[in-house]
Amino acid sequence: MTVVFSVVRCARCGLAAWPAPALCRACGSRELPAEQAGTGLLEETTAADPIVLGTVRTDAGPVVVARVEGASPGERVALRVDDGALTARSA
Amino acid sequence: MTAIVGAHETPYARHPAEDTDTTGILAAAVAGALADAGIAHGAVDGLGVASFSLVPDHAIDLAWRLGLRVRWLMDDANGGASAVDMLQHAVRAIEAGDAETIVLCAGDHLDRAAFRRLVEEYNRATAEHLTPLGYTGPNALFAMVTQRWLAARGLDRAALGAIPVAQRAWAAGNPAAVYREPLTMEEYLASPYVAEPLTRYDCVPVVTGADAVVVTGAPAGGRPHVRVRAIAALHNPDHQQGPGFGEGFADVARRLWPLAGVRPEDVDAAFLYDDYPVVVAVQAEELGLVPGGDIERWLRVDVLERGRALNTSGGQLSAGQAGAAGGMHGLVEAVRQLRGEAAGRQADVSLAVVGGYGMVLLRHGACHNAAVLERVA
Repeated sequence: MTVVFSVVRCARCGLAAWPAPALCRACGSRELPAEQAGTGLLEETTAADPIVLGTVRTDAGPVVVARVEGASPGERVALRVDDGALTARSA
Repeated sequence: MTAIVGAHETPYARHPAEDTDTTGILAAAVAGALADAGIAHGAVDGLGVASFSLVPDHAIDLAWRLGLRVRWLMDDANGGASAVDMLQHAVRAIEAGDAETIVLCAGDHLDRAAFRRLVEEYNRATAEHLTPLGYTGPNALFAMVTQRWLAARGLDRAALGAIPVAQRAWAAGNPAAVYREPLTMEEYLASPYVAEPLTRYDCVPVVTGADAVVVTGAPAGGRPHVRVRAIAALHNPDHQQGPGFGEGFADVARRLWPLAGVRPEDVDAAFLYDDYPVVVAVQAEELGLVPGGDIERWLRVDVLERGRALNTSGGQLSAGQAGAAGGMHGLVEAVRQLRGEAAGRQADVSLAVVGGYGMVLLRHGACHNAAVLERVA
């Protein structure tokens, strides 16, 4: 199953986070609805057999670790979750 | 005066005997540390333990198995930061009168299956978000921390290669290190990547083993002991959103040195947590151990050419990482150096700093602490 990646965004103060925290780190709120975060910038990658792992700064805010498929550092990427695996591909 | 009066490390083993178990190696470390301290088993009234493989047992089960009746008890789950963390609590417990003589121990026996389970399910975020990516273990995460740090400093990987190469030279003087043959910079640079820019020389060999120290409020005379001048910590400084450096140890340093009443340049030897070379460089920089902040020169000249006293056992990179004992390995080596008992590799040490680091939540370690220790004759 493939879905667009999502983070959560605090309903009180607006800070986005991932993985979903139990309390907002900025204001302590528990009201943290999900929000799609399907795009970002690929910052670093490393080939770690059998995959390429990367760091992505999402446009929503959170910095995440993803499996990279055919994208290079500095590129804009689309973020999808494929069977539980957060995957970054060239946008 | 509260002091460390005994230390012991069991022989680290790449391939432990068939009947090895975690309780047994922790017991060997505790017995060895008490023997080193000259303190009777019955005098112990506090116990702290850090171990990933002690489950389902906890500190109380271990106290029972070790035959210890204790007034103070601590389970520490903070991996490479656990030794300094337990020391922080133990010193204060003794000073507050909760206990008089505390043994702190850490160790692991992780067979192939147990190690795999540990790295795949290190915490919930790892199990839910990293393991499904198809790669397990922290090497690739620290490869990216290393890339960020090298880029921020404008250095190439040969700069950090000074750490594994220099520590291997120290390991030649430590019969207990699992890797003792010399390593040259050429060999280091020619080694294939595990995850670029890390090679196998940047990753710790997994071993079975345990470490222990004895802390007491009434040290006996006649032999040097080790006083804890200061301890400071900061955990989860950046919520896993920063680059993995620049926040934790920098904050620790701002509190550590004023508490210690000494300056970083007064320190004779450093025992910095070395799961990866970049982590050593980050501690050295942020704890203020690098003169003028010139890290490139410190690595190339002080560490590599002049053999500054840094992780004199060979560190975990050469001596091995015995799970949660990794955090105590440097503390035990610091105690040995400060007491003049590091045969084969003794440096001139009367003041030392020990750094602890650990617990990768998602992208890098979250726990940072450090202790300043001094020899008291």
